[in-house]
Formats: sequence, C-alpha cells, structure tokens
Amino acid sequence: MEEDLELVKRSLRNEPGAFERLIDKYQKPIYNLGMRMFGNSDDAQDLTQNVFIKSWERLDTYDAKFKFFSWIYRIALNESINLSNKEKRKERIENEAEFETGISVVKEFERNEQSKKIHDTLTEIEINYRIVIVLRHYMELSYLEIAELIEVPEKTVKSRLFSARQLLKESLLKKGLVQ
Amino acid sequence: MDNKRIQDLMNKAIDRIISEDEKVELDNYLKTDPELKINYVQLIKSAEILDKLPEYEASSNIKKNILNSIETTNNQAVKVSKEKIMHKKFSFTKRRTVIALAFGMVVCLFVFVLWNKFYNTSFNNESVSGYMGMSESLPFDTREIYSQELLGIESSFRIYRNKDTLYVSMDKKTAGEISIGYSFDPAGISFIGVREIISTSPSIKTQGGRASITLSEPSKIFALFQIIKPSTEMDIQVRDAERQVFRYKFNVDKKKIKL
Repeated sequence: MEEDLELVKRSLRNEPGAFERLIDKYQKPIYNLGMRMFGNSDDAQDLTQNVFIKSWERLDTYDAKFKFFSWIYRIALNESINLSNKEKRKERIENEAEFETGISVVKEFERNEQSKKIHDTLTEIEINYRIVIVLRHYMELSYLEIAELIEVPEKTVKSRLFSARQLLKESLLKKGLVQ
Repeated sequence: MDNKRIQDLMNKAIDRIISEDEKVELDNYLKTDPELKINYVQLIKSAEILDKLPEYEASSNIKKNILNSIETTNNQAVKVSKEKIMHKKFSFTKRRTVIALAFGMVVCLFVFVLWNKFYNTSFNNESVSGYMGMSESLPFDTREIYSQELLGIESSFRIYRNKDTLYVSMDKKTAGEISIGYSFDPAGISFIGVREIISTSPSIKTQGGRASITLSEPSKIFALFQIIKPSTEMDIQVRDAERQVFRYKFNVDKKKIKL
C-alpha cells in the first residue's frame, strides 16, 4: 500500500522505472481478470494494455486515501464493460469459433477443453453477474471490497453473487460439467 | 424459511468463510429440504469447477506495448504542449500587434483632430446659415482662414486657402444687387475666375490688380486667386446698391484681417 503510493508519486515525477514497477505488480491480476471476463487472451491483452494506459493518463487523479488496487480494478471493470460492448469483440469471437473447427487450438487456455467450456460458460453470463463472480472467486475480494468497487450496497453484492452462482450452475448443468 | 438468510449462508459456505454456528444452521436447513441440498451441492461443484481454471501469465509483449503507448502519449502530450505554447506566443504577438495598430490609429485620429482644430477651422466654423455645401466643393486639405456673417445684407463671407490658391466665397441669400471688389498687387496675386455653386450669372470685371463681381440674385460663388508672391495683401470691398457694406484687407500669409 505504502509502496504503491510511493510508486505513484515517483511515476508522477516521471522517475524512470516507477510506473514499470506498478505494471509488473498488477499486470498479472489484471490480465487474469481479463481472461476470466472474456475467456480469450486477445481481449485480456487489450484490457490489460488499456487499463495501464488509462491509469497512466489519469494517475494525477488518484486519491491516496483509497487503495491503489481498488482504483486500478475500477478502471479495469469499466474497461471490461466497454470492451464487452464492442462489436469488435463479437466479431473476434465469431472468427475464433470458425478458426477452431479446422485448426488445433494453440492458445494456452484452449489446450484444455474443460477450461474452454468454463470460459464459455462464464462469458455467457450477463456482465454484471460475471463481474461479482470474477471479483469474489478469482480476485478474492471481500463482499465489502466488491461493494466499494462496483459502488453498490454490500447486501446487493451478496444477492447478486448468489444469483450469479445460480446462473453459472444452470449453465454448467446444461453443458454437463456439473451433475 | 428465510431465503435471504439461506442464500447468505450458502454464499459463505461456498466462499469458505462460514462460522461453525452458521454451518450448523445451514445443515439444519439442508436436512429439512432435499431440493435445497441438491441445489447447494451443485453450487459447491460449480464453484469448484471455477477453481480449475489456471492462472495465466501475461505476455511480455503487454508490458512492452504499454510502455511504448505511454511513450507515444507523452511525446504527443509534449508536442501538444509545445503547440499550445506556440499558439499562446502567436496569440500574444498578434494581440500586441492589434493593440499597437489600434493605438497608432487613435494617435493618428487625435493628431488629425488637433490639426483640423488649429489649421482647418472650416469643419468647426461651418455656418449653418446657408453655408452648407460650399466648403465641400473645395479640395479636402483646404483650410479656412476667415469667416464673417454680413448681417446687413444677410450674406456670409469666407476666405479659404489651399497651397497657392485663394478661395473667397460669398453666400448671398437675398435679392438686391451687391458687388464685391478685389484689389491686389498683380505681381503677387492673379485672378483665376469664379466658380459658381448657385448663381444667376454673376457679372465679372477684371483689370490689372482689380476684379469685381456683381450678384443680383441669391447666389453662392467662389472667387479664385492664385498667390504668386508670399505676403501679398488683398483688399476686399463689399457694396450694396447704395453704400459700402464692408471692407477687408488682409495678408495672404497671415490670418490677421485688417479692417
């Protein structure tokens, strides 16, 4: 926390390597957030890049009374919502679907058929439900932290999380991944 | 059965943050409702399936791309900043030029007004008693050197000079004959002629250093003279049918008029 603030200050002073260290620290969780949200490495990469570029552009607006990871996750969530609305992504998914029929899957997650099904199931869930699952299950944020991040009451997080889990379960049942 | 409470307990159980007491409470609900238990088991399995997703390593290209983008953004920001500064400088220079031009124009206008006030009184002394329209027929830089209202014969008499030309005007508003006699040194002044603004054919006589113009109807005329020598004097007499009304004598280089 202290270290993040110091890195932010140094980045604002354009000290070499300071922002790079913030990238080193947060690129993996942001990239994984992207993978959970979109289920493919291209979108996860786009998301990660956009998040850090926007973070850099808005770094002077960062309020030190909040945790840096909350601030950057919020940017990541907004960016995820933006990205999920883009037509480009839909086209890409369609193209990938066609691509996979003739060529062996080369990307990391696609080597595992089960992982792909899980990704597909996650990405089918409406984004507001997907966000709470990803934040709770993969980012391991508390209900309160999720509530602060997506700016809804904690009880809303709990009920949304339960609904999201029900939707996920129904979808996994349909795919035969859960008996 | 409190659905909200059950949901809350199930969430906690899936998230492995349920307390011992809460676990007992949840188990009691599950024992009494087989469907609820099936749902709970399926939810637990679903959550376990999510755990099967591996953790991914971000490609090293991502960091490179981010840093490249930031560098480009910074360069663009510097460029934009420089452009803004240039624009500001240009605006400042432009503003200064406009201010200087405006100031120059004000100074010129002020000088012109002053010059006009002291050397070209025609603009200020223009009489409203029928003289309108006479001075406008003279060259722009003509200055008025004398004006006099001749109340006895309801006329206006004025003298103008433009370089070497002398204009002696008479604006006669009434009927009745008047004659204007001009006496001068023919070596210093030469009579050019009469310019009629409103006239009914004035009678003009010239001889040596003398000229006379007779007006019988309301008229507006200029008698034009060329100044050949500086400091030449001219004597002007205005007479009606019976008497001399006025007489003026003046030096063409001086404003002073001698009676």
